[in-house]
Amino acid sequence: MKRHTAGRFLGAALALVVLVPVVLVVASGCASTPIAQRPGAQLWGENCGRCHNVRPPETLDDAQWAVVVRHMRTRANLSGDEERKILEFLQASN
Amino acid sequence: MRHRAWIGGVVLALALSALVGTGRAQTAGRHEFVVAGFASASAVNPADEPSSFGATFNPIFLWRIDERLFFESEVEFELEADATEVGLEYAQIWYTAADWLSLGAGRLLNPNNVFMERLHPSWINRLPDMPMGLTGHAAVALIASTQVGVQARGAFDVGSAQVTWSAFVANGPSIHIDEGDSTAVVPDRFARDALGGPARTASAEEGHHGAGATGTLSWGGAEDNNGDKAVGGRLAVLPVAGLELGYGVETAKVGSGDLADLREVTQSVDLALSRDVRPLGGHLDVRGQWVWLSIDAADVPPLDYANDSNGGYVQLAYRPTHAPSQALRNLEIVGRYDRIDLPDSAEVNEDQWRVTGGLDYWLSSSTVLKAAFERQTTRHADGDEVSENRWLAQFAMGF
Repeated sequence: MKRHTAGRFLGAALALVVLVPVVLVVASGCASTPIAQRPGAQLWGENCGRCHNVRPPETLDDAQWAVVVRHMRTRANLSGDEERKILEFLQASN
Repeated sequence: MRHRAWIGGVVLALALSALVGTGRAQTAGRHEFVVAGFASASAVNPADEPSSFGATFNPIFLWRIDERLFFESEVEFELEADATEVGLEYAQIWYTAADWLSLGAGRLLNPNNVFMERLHPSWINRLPDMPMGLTGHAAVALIASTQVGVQARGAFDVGSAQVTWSAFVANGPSIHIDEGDSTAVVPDRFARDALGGPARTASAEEGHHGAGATGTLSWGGAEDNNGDKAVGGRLAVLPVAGLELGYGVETAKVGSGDLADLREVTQSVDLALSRDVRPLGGHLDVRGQWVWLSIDAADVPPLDYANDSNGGYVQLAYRPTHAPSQALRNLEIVGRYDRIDLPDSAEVNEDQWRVTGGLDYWLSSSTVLKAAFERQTTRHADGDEVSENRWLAQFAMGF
């Protein structure tokens, strides 16, 4: 039989012990502006940057951004309002 | 899934012709078409095995037909030992029904598997390889990378917080029963070596870790092995900007014939935190996902055991974005712990865990050079533990 030891969970437990305080400390310093009041630039940074480095607005033109932002709406669960604000910001900044 | 080489040639020609076009989104009336994607060149140097190079190319085709209709698909070209394999990673048709609701159908990235849905592209994943358990890379996959079915998803605000949701119905998983032959090829496209190596088999004798072995699951096929569909979904909360906490669950019958009543339940939790932290002088990126898979025990061998597994990863990355030097600002340090625990009575029951440290250098927002050192430990059924080290490197680009 395979041995079961407390040590097999040591790594995961250690990771949780390290990660939970980090998350709580960092999250406590975050802004709490209602999402509906956040400008497109802020939503762009928050939503895109949650998974990957944000790509500068000038890397795509208006038509390309319209396609790519729709792609990211379905991938990252953006709301319709977030999609419109982010797209408006990118098209105004490229 | 394998396809004829000429299909790959046609798709590649289509991708290249679009890439070398005008540089603008191609339009036909109101239709808008963009080719995006990613590519990578990799190297791996295990301590006791030959080193090797690998390469992948993943074009993503995006077609916005009008305000409500949208199509997206990713195709992967991957080098194997003596051929180039082509695979349909996902292909979905979307209908945007409302601000809070999008409806999709086709081959979809599993909404419950956040790593595969959002983080698997090589220019987004901060290490050269992928975590165990979530992808089938280096171990059994405990959760689907892709599903074939329909989904609905959306988001709504609750003041300064946001709730996102996904729900799907799909063909679901099928359980492997090898009946003495434990060398079945892994059917999931993602269940291969991330560095472009040959399709992995389940043969423990060959050093692989059980994908395709009796008692394991596979997903993503265009045919269901029974009439029961997989039903699942994910609910996530974003209490503050940059922080997302999610929970996903799926259940489905996995067998057929005499084993038609065998049911699996997959649960997953995930965490993502990405914030600029001024006291630390840089950007902090924390990620984690853990999966618990439970499959009913059958009344008769070879599946008459508690078939419960779990696995996942936690990862911490730091980039000194406030450093005075541009070269320092381009660096990112990454650490990851990933693990998979398999059932004691399973055909393949070795537990594995890895500790990986990496250093990335960002040449642009979507181009990165990665180097990593990885130590992997395997605990065999008799309790013996064996560790092995390897170096990894990758040059990845998103476009």
